[in-house]
Amino acid sequence: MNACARLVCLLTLTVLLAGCAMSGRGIDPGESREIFDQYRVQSQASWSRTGWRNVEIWTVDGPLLQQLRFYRALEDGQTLFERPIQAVLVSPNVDKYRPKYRVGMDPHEVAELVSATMMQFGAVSAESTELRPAQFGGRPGFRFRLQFISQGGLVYAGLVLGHFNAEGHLHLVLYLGARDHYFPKLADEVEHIFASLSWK
Amino acid sequence: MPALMLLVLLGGCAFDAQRVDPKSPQPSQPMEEGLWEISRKFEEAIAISGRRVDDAALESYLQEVGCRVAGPHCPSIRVYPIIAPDFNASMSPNGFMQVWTGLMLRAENEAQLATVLGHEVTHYVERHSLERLEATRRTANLLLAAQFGLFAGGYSAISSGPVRVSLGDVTSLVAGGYLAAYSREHEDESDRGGFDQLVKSGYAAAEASAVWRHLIAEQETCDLQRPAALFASHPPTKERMETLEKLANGAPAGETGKERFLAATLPHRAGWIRQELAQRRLCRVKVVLERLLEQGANPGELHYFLGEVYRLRNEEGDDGKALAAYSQATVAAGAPPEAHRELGLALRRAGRRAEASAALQAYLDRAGTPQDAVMIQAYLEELK
Repeated sequence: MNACARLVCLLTLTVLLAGCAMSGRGIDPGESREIFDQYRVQSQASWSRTGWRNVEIWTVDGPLLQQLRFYRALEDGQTLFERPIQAVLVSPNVDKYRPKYRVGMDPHEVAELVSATMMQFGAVSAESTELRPAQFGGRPGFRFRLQFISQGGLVYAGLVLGHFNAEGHLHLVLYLGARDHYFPKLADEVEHIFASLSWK
Repeated sequence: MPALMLLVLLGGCAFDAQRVDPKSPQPSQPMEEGLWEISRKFEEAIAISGRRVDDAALESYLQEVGCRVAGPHCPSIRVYPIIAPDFNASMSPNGFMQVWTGLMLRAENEAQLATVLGHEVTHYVERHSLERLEATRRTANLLLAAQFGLFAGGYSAISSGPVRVSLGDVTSLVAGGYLAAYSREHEDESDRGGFDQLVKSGYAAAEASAVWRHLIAEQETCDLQRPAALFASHPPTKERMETLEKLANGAPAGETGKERFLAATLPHRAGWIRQELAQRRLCRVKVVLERLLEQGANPGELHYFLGEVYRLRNEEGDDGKALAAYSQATVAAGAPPEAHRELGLALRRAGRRAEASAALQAYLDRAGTPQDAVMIQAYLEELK
């Protein structure tokens, strides 16, 4: 697979796959939405929605420009991104080397997991910063910022909110977008969504 | 028999391209003009891509080394450091060379780096890409004729038990072997040409075989998959290593250029190791780190990353190994502040609260105001 297309392929493919698995009904401003029967969040903007199995993806301008990903609680051995079909065809052992969540990780390890995932999917560099404690629907969690550069030289920014549940599974919300316009465009909205998070 | 006939036909079509004239480096014929044009466009894309290492000093250093082994061809060689966590370098027909960060991480000195750069320069000078293009074109034509002939002769398929192989597949395999062999000639020629330039440039000849010895160790220790020898596009590295060892016998003594190499690459090394770790090929990273530790530069940094290998590998006993590696890092030269942080976090996971607090405090003391200071303070509160 052409290396310079991997990151774009990842973002595109996940959305294409998602389109097959979940209806694309939008989120209206002020709507309260339930995520995987686990918690609710409220939006102020109008989002498009898609996703499948373990992740729900929202976007306003398109997933290549910005996307908000809600993960069902990640269990031992699970990954943040589905493997692209092309990668599997080229290398059937690709999963062996995929960064995986492990019960018992601490927030620093989760930050490294997210950065490493981005680098495996084509970012030439990825860095997590400003890791600090944060509330996840009133429960103790953590948050950090992310910055990574695509092989084409485009800089992306990210914001991550996480929480370990009693079983050690990881609840994660990941906001990614092109740093120069599309990430900041919805940064306040995403902060509002984070703050609105309430457990069922 | 048809396959043998095909090989004879192919063997009779040798194509010998003229070497590049250093005074007038340009395509030698219309077919090569296309190759140069493609290379020029590719170079333009690489030059502005995120994969190019954004460091003029490193690029200038690579250019110097490339020029030293390129001799009179120096003005037409352009060397770009490329972010890619694996051992590789490549040369385009128009003199544009990519040197991957994984290669620079694995080299121990300038002579080893120059070995690979000299090899790539020889590909350029001998116009190997043009020869391969010509071979591919001719082989494709002959294959078409052979497949037509075999079909017309009624040989539609070979059946051997559950495995059925069409004659089309057979001719493809034969051609593949031919092309690979052709490529092996180029690789051999480039090894010898690169070696000659290495020696002429005053580098230590023995370092040429060391490059391949290290790769073999990485390959064998980590049980990496290799293509079957017959169809390999490169000569087996053991054969390469032995040839270069023989060539080095009796060669004049030269310099390794280790200090210059370390001055240029050490500022980047931690980032390159992180890129390798992100690929999770932990066995390979471990082999590289252990070998670099023998070289002695910034051992604290290397012990810290060995700790990271064990933490990520997470096999039985790796918790203890990671702790030991982080501990070693904190008392060795060149350790980053993160070595103290990871030691503290490992101790925290092990329930050794007082020691964890001390290590995390040491991290804060050394890092000033790190980006994760608030999180570390929260850990320290929790550990009280």
